[in-house]
Amino acid sequence: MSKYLSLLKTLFVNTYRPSKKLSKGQIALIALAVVCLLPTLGLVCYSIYNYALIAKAGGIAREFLATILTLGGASVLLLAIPSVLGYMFFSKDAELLSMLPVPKSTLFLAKLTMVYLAELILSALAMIPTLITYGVGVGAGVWYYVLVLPMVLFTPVFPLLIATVLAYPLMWVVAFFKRHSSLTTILYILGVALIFTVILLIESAMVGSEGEFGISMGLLSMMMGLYEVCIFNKLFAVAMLGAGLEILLNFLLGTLIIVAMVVISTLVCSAFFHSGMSYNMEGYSQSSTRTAKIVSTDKMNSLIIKDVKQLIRDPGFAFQSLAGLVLAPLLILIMSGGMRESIVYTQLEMAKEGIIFSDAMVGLFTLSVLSLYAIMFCGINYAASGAFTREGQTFYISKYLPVSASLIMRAKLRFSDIVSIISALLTAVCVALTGVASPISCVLLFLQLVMLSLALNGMGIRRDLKRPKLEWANVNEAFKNNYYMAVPMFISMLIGFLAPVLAIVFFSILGDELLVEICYWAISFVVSAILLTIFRSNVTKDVDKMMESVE
Amino acid sequence: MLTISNLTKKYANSTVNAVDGISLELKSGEIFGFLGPNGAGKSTTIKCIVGILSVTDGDISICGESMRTSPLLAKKHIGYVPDQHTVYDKLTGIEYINFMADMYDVSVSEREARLPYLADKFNMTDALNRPIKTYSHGMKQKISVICALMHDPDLWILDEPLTGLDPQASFELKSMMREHADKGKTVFFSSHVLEVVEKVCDRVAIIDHGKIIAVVDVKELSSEGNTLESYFLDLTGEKSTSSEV
Repeated sequence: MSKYLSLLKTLFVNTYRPSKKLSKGQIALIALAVVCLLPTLGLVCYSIYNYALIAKAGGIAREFLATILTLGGASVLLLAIPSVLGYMFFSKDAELLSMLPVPKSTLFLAKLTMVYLAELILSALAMIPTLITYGVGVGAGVWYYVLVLPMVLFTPVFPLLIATVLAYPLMWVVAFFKRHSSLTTILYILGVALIFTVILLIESAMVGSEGEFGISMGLLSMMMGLYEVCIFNKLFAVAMLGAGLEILLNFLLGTLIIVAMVVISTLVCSAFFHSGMSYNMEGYSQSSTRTAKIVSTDKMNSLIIKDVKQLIRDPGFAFQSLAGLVLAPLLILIMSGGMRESIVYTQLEMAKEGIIFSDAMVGLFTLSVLSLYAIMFCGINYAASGAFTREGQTFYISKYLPVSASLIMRAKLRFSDIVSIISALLTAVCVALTGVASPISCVLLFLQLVMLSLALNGMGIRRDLKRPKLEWANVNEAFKNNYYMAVPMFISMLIGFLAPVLAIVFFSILGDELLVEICYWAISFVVSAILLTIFRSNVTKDVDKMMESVE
Repeated sequence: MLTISNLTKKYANSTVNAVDGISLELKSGEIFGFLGPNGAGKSTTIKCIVGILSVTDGDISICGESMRTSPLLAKKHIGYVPDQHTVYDKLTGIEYINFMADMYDVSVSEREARLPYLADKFNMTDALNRPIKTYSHGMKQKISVICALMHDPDLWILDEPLTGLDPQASFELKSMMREHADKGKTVFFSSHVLEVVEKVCDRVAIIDHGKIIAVVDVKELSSEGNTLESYFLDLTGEKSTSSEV
């Protein structure tokens, strides 16, 4: 136990000890993050409150609460898989930990606890407002609110254990394809994308079907199914909304199941933990018989090739930087199905009250909501906003190369722009495939996404060069809690929310469909063009001085 | 003290053995040098001995404890100075030392007895409360050495320990290696600096292409009028030259 605590303390201090006190800029960034999250949170709480009223009236308040707990867990699972892989297996402290006279189970638990603590923050942000809103909606008693805190603590546990178990087959894939590191990266991204897809499909099936606040039969049967399967969430839901001894008994039983799962998983997974870390440590085969080929290219291309190869041969970083290529189109494909049904349902309901929305209007509104998600992905291109951070200590090589800083910056920008353009193209193609928008709208969406991505890439790369985080032991330390890298993401969230707002405003004040579409796209392109001009016109200005100042 | 029996290590998907059936027996009270050209298998062997890498075949035993069957007991006998520095660089020097001492069950009284001596030897006393990331390359190396010695290990393993050390620290390290061996313990270290190996070591093993190609007594070698450098180049240089051609 003392070794576990000592190890945990060391890992915690090394991960969370700030290098300096928070600057005013960082505090402002945190405030901006909160502002950006508020609209999303508001929407979620509004929906939850309405669902709570329906659930209470329908006598399924416990079932719905268990569903919220399960969905919270599923969301944590989405975020946990890359963290588990990055922090537990692709970490630079693997060698140091392997040589210590410490049981594997202790190492495993300490590492798992660190991932748990990181996910706990997200769990708290999502679950506290959701559960409190639901409690208000169903008129829950005092014990409900007392048990909110344990629920927040328990939510990440089960998904983390699942993520850890899923990490092992992914690690075996990495080991199997060790000689083909680029292929490993592709398989890694596809593997995680597959898991994302399954979870998103389940979530989409649960919330998409019957429109506004009606609960469809599909959702109801899914809810009942989960209620019986996720036994611990059922027990917690009964405890939270129960009375008397029922509260204590169900809570204790649920806690017991969670503890038992942790113990069993620790025993099973820790047995393979060292071999999991070894996959990363053992490096690459040295038995290649290929003749080394001498090739020559110009400096720009050489810098880009170096950047691409470095990135794709490191699955952890590659996932963080290139996942948008796969995940953005996937998200659009999955969400569009449920969303279209939901909007058509609303269209029919409104028609009953004499308010007619044409198909073109419905199409534009659906597109604007999908744009919200697509634009958000424009801001999380870590290929740009983590371009210098991911180099770590090798960044200093750039400082002594006889190459201008602006050339290095332009090479990195070109690579991240290529990633963004491919992502935008795939997203637009997916929108076209779903049939929610006309081909012209899809082309316009593609152009808008490219403009915004290029603008945010320019902003992200400059911010990263200003304050690169070069001292890290793993991908989590490099990218997580890196406020500067998060700025483009927050800005893209704000712009993303602008899309449906614009659509609604123009629907309200303009009658003509064509005029609505023209105004929507005109404003979208003006905003994109302004951002593009601001962030790209002087993107390499003073870049030599910026690079010099990094020490 | 250290017995390596038929150790073989093959990396995943590799067609050749990085270490190919080597056997060695290190005695108490000796300083044992481990030499070899780049890529010969030195670091792989050391990483197998300290438990970082699993072995494909054979066994390693430290003070009678097998690394395969009782790795935790075997690891407790080892103090390891890796070729790469500490990764927990947000910790201060003293925090890192305390962490390593916790891992090796070093009591507070033992820490109080050993740390002032070791910190003083390496002129690190004033730097212990500073974050490791502010240290120079050599200071990080010194912290690694201090951590490795906090539990007074029976087997002290050093991978390229002299890299980055200033002359004074280098001198102190060499004298500490001798002190450690004189206490009846064993020092095992790899280096490319043949003059140092020749001066410090009692015996030397040379590894090439994953196989031990010679184990020599340094004094005997010297009495025969040979230098370690010429002996090493005779054994490994000819092969390298022919393979380059």
